[in-house]
Amino acid sequence: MASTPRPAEARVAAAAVALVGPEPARTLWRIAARRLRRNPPAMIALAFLVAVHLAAAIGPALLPTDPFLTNPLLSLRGSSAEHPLGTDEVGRDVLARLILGARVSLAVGFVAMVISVSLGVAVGAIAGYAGRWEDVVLMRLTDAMMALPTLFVILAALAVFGGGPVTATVVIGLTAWMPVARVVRGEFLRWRVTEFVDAARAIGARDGRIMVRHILPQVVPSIIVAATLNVAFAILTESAISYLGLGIRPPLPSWGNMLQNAQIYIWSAPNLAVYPGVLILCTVLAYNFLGDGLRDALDPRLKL
Amino acid sequence: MGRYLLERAVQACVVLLVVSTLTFLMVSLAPGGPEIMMTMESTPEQREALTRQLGLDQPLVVRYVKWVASALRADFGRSFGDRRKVNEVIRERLPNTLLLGGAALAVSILVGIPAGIISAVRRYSASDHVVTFFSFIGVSIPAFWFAILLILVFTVHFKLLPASGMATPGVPFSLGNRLLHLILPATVLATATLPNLVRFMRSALIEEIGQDYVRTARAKGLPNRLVLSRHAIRNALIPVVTVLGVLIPRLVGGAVITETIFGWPGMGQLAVASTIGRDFPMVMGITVVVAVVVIVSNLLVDLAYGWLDPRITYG
Amino acid sequence: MRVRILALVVGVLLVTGSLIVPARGAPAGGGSIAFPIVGDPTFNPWHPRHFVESIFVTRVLFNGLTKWGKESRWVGDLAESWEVSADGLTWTFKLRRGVKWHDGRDFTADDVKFTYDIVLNPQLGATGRAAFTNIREVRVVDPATVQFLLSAPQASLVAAVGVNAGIIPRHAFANVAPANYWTHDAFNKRTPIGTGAYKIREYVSGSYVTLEKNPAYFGGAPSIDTITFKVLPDVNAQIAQFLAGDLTIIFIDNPALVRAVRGRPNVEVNTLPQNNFYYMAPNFRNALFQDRRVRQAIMHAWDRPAMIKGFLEGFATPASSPLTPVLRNFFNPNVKTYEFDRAKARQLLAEAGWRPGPDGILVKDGQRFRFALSYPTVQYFEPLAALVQQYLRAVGIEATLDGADFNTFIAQKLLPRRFDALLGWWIMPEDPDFFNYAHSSAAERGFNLPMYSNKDADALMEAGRKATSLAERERIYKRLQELMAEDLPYLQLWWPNEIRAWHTRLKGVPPIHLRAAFQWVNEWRLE
Repeated sequence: MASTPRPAEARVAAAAVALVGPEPARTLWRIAARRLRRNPPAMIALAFLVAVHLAAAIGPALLPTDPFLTNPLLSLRGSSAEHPLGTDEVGRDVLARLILGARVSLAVGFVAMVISVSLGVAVGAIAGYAGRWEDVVLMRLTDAMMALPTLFVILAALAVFGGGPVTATVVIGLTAWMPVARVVRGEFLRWRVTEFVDAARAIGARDGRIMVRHILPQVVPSIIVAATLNVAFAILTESAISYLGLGIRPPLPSWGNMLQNAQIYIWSAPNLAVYPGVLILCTVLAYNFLGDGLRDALDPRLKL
Repeated sequence: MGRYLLERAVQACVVLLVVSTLTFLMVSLAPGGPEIMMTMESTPEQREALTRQLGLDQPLVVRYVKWVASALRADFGRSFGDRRKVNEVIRERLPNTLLLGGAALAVSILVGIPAGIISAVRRYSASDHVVTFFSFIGVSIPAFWFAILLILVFTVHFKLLPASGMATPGVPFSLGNRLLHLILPATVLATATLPNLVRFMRSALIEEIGQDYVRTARAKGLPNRLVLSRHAIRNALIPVVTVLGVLIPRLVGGAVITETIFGWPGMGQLAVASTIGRDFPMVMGITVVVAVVVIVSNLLVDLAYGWLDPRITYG
Repeated sequence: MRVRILALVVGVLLVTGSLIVPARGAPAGGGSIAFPIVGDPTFNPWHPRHFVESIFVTRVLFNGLTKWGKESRWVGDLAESWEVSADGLTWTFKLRRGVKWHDGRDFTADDVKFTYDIVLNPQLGATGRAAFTNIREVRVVDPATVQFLLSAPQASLVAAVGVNAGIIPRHAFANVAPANYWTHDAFNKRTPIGTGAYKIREYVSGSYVTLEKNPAYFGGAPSIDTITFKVLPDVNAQIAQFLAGDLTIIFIDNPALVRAVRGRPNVEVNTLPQNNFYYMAPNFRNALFQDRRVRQAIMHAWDRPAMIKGFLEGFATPASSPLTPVLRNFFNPNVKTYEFDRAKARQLLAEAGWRPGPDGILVKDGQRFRFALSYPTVQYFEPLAALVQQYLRAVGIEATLDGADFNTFIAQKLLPRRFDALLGWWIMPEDPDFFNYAHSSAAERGFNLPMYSNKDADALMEAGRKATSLAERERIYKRLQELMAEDLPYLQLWWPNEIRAWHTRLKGVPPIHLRAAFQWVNEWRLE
């Protein structure tokens, strides 16, 4: 069963946009923004992300408590006036550490996601669209990367480039692009043989244009899903590799390493795992709803 | 078809060679070594003796050539740890992992795909939000935490399920006993893999439902169910199948936390133990197995594309 | 919010304390117990892969010449008695007669010689070899007598032959060349043959090993039928299984876990001091730590009682020197001690020439007091390093944290001695012989990690090895403790207690540390 995607009108509209120039495009963005504003989950998500990023950016400076100050005699305490979310195993303020830890986690999560998604989309699009030897080379490269033992990739990176948050972020990004590439390629394989692509080709559109203007929009939903899943993956992986000595070093907190350290206190202070866990969950959910909202807002098929 | 498979086989050999060479290099680059031993109380003489015994005093190139030569005969040498044959250990561990991974995958498919479909069809309904929420809990909840919680509830409190291992020690093998031991670890593992399927199924199907042909078919009065099951779902499965191809190798080599907490003697646990102990032959053996799984599952995915959408060709 | 609810569920379950499976009514004698081990065991106690995951199993399967007794002194195991020549160079062990291997063959002096020949063979790199470097030769005098000929006196040999030094049967290696000893899977990984209280019944690689009682055990027939050692690397999983009743007895490595089991019905949590010492080792080649006043200032800068109370749940004692009270007569309680006193720390640092700089960090001759604190990311070292960092910061010393995984830590920091200061621990046999850990000859290649070098300390540690009378050894080691407390080769943190928990139906576990208690497992019983 063949599908007949993309209504002819849409193609005409796209062509019109291309012909008439930037003016209608700006209108499209305005329409998109209006649509986004009418999407409550997306707006809540946006508000949450803005709040978290603001807190991460300026919160640590405003906090009265020092996130590094230890006091063993106050370890593993519950909520109190001085410590609204209690203290960790060495008596540090959990709230202050969560706010400071947001910096690393949000940055690593976002940047590593951008790296892995851009790389994955590029590789997948070229392999899927070009086919032939490009597909063979790129997909076998993807296979090889998927098969490498991640732990040793990290240890080797550590040996060559040294530790540090930048190396960590890049390494996470470079070990997470393969699924994106596979998915994007799968979609490109499918869309490149549809009528509207043939039509575009027939009117003389160049390959690059077909890939970006015609096929890529069809693949955006999958890319958004991959991107949100990769944010979660990156935030959680950061903690796993900081254990190996790569990534951020203690006593600097991240949500990931707070979660990791909470492991042994699951019996005496289960909340230590809950706080960073809930924040990671909310962040990933927010990225997801915002992504969904953006997709809808930019979808030419949906009527206002 | 035959020619295609032959080409893929040749490509597979190249991939295996590249992966093994890179891994060999990385393993040698990594700090530490098997002779370091997991104790502070060993002497330099002991380390030198071990270095000689394990052949680590030879140049990297010599070691690699030797490894390739015996790997071509499907002999991966002996572990640098307990000195057992790598093949023997992997032969013990791989079936355990396949059982656990297979169960988790089955649960993921059986639950994830229908959940994704419901989520897409009833988009923005309460059930869609519930599915979305739970699938992101699955992504965000740390496996160690969820696993302990399940043990507390089902083993400690209700005494319904065994907390760990593959079988009750001393009890002769029975399928029922094995399945009982499988429930908790498979649940934890599935919780982490399932969201991937749910999310991709949902997004792809939403995209598909928006397509012209679905609207046309609906307008013509075809029953919704039929449109979905005949056409839309089938087309939407392409990204889902791709993700399955990515998940399978991860289940083979990466179910570390689940295997560790539930004492499940699988490949993930083995991989981590051999990384920590710098057990190079074991790491190489596991890497080759994972590489084969990657190659085969991605080949199956490519074949599945052709079945899902006959217009897809390669070349 | 769901996660919060789950947390509540855990909390409620924990609080209600209704988690314990009631002890099954087992008859007196018989029954089975289970104990967790952290990895797949190797059954040969000398195998280079024989580490902490294997020692509990091999201590039950095999016997050494001596073992740590219930009265906290070394007693004979396969050896009935021993004597040392006046020059301390010849040790003669009289062996127990009538001991049988699990396969029914006789145990003789040849097996002892065979075992120690493996240890002495430098090509084999047997684990634990470090304790025996003074042995020149092992000689069979008659089937029930062996002699150890030493190149230098070593009074601590009595302890060395009792710690993870199981005697293995010569006949099990009859047709195996020494080069293949470690690949002899039939013995090392499948069917070990020992003299111990239990023998192998079933081993499932990566999963568990079950031992069954050896009714012919020379120490007396065991009461419990089987012991299962379950491979469970994760401590939380161990606790959960213990609460579920799947494990009978566990070893609690991190005091944070005590709260999970304490106060539950039918569970006994007990603790005892052990010969284990936690420290920060300063690098004596680093100019920062060469001044004794600086080392003493650090001892005053950290609040060890507070760390023990808040962070270790009280399960440790501040160390007054590396030698612990477990050594009884050798222990010297009257040495210099260091209370938490920041003013005193600052004063000592000032005397050493360190003055606070503009940001509060001490400066001397234009150099800031800044160093990297290395530690392995195992146990509780990471939070401990954070604590130490903050205590030092408060007196103007800046420590940066430098953690690495264990293998990397040993390879890159410990072996090349490439560190400013490191956090570590020693688990020592119950003997005051501290030669390997602080003698200047052990600085580059031994375990003298601080690379401490002090002529007086060297002389004492040498004399302690040569001394043949107990009184003389006591006098020497008491003096050594005074010296170390004053001069601080190691910045002493604490002596941790061993914490164990078992279901109360388990009886007869002697009040000695668990590794040794397993050597008395034939006396354990279930009610």
